[in-house]
Amino acid sequence: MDFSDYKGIYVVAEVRGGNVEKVTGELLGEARKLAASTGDPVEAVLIGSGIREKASELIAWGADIVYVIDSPLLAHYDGKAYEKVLGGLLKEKKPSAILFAATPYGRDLAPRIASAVVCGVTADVTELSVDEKTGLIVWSRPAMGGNIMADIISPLYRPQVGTVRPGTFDLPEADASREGRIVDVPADLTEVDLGTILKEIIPAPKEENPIEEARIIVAGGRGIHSEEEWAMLHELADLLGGSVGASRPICELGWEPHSSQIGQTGKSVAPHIYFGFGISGAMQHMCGVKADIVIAVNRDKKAPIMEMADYAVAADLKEFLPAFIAKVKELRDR
Amino acid sequence: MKILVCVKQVVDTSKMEVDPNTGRLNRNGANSILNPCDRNALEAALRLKSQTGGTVTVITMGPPQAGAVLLEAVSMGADDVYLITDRAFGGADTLATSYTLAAAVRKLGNDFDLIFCGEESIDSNTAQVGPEVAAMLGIADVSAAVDFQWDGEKAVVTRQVGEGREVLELKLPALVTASPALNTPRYPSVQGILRKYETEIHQLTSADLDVEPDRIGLKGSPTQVRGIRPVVPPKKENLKIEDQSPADAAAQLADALAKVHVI
Repeated sequence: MDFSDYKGIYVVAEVRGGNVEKVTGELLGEARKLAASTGDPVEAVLIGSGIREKASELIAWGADIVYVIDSPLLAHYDGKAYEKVLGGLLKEKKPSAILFAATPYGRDLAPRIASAVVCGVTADVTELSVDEKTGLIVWSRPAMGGNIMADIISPLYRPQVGTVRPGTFDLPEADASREGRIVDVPADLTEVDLGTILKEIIPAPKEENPIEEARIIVAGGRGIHSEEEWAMLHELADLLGGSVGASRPICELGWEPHSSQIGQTGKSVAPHIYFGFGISGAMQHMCGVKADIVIAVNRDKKAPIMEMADYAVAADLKEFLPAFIAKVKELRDR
Repeated sequence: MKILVCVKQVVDTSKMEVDPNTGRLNRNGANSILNPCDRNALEAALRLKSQTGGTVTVITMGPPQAGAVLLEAVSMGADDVYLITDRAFGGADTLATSYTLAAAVRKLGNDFDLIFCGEESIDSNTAQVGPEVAAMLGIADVSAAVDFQWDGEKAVVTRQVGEGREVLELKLPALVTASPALNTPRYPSVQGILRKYETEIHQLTSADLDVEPDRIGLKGSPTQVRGIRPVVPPKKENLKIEDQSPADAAAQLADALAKVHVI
């Protein structure tokens, strides 16, 4: 089969509330890496209402061309309307590959596009590579409950398509001096093309997230010496989207409610990431911690937790905490 | 109202293990079950029918033994059930499956007001079949609904986006995929279990459907599994930072954690 007229690695921008989501940059960064092997240009599609000015962000992240489909009818994600405008563009442009964000929108739009242009989609890809012999993109994803990795290819159909969850790939450094072309694509749409009418957006409830369900726990123990330092744990937890946990002495001091106590006389937790600040690693506490990644910061480099941790830092917490928070903010804002 | 539900028979992956030495699947006699969120789809359909009247038809594609999940649907309250089965459909990926399901919808009259599917199957988790079927039929869809209401005139669907929710009025005909949060599926009724024994499973083969031979089964499947391999656990550096200034230690830790996407 001859696919020589299928060119370009495309990224469909993830837009929410009129803003381009960070995952779009992650996809563009990865598309650039693939393009370095395949020799394709990197092209992006930006769909929304009043969205044109955001095209430069996509160029800074690595797009050579940005197609902008801008219409008041595209202000909110609508599977049917988005499929119509994007499917039309893709049928004309014939990309070699397309990356979508594996978000509620991307996971709906990518399969609709697959039906429209007749191609396959690999869902929730966690690794991407180019097969040296064939030049095919290899889309890898965990399968069978995460026990195995499946490598998926699409040798007989184009475009090759996949969705990628936010946070899977690194966000490239934005380069405002990069040059690229912005191409306006008219949206051939009327009200009739919309399948849904948005009635209401209900914002996230502002409730404290219980530590049993937290993916990230920022825990502290006796090595935290003041309420001022303790407040910094809350700042860090908020920054990381996590919850604060504590060892028993902290709860006895009244700095944290008993509902946040982890360990033998508290709760058992199973977060993805556990930070222990000033926690010695006593079994009474650690028996309640089952985390994928344990990070420990302690003044005492001989504390037992330093041997249990994947990342162990010996440092003075009073100075370490503000420096660490500042650095996390800096990485976040980049 | 004419309502259709698409369901799938899946292997109960929660009872399956991978042999750590060979990397092969050890099925341990894991049962075949009705895909869990397809139950939520069926429940939504049955609730809608109780409000509006009409019929609930359930279809599945699979080998002959997949008829078991159709009978389970009958025991919950489905009116008609169809099994799409043919060796020619074997090896289908989501696109070929959706193509075949869409052909079956047309065969059944293509006059359903609402089609419900489960959001995703537990054996492949792609969440693609629902939106693919909707696109092939040229109708609207909402994926992963967490709420569905019929107010007498309109269908109102809610989906989760990030931490928030969007409430959408849905133009019919349309397809909705059910998340596990949509509702609590009912248990089979005694009456339903009895009806199971007198219900005929209608069969549809490739000869019954208007399908192009190169769009079905393995041949009509764009995605191919090149291979499988054991999962490599996420790269963790066993990092120790000692005898540094707190600022340097903080910077080193933050950089190391950013590298493995912890922050």
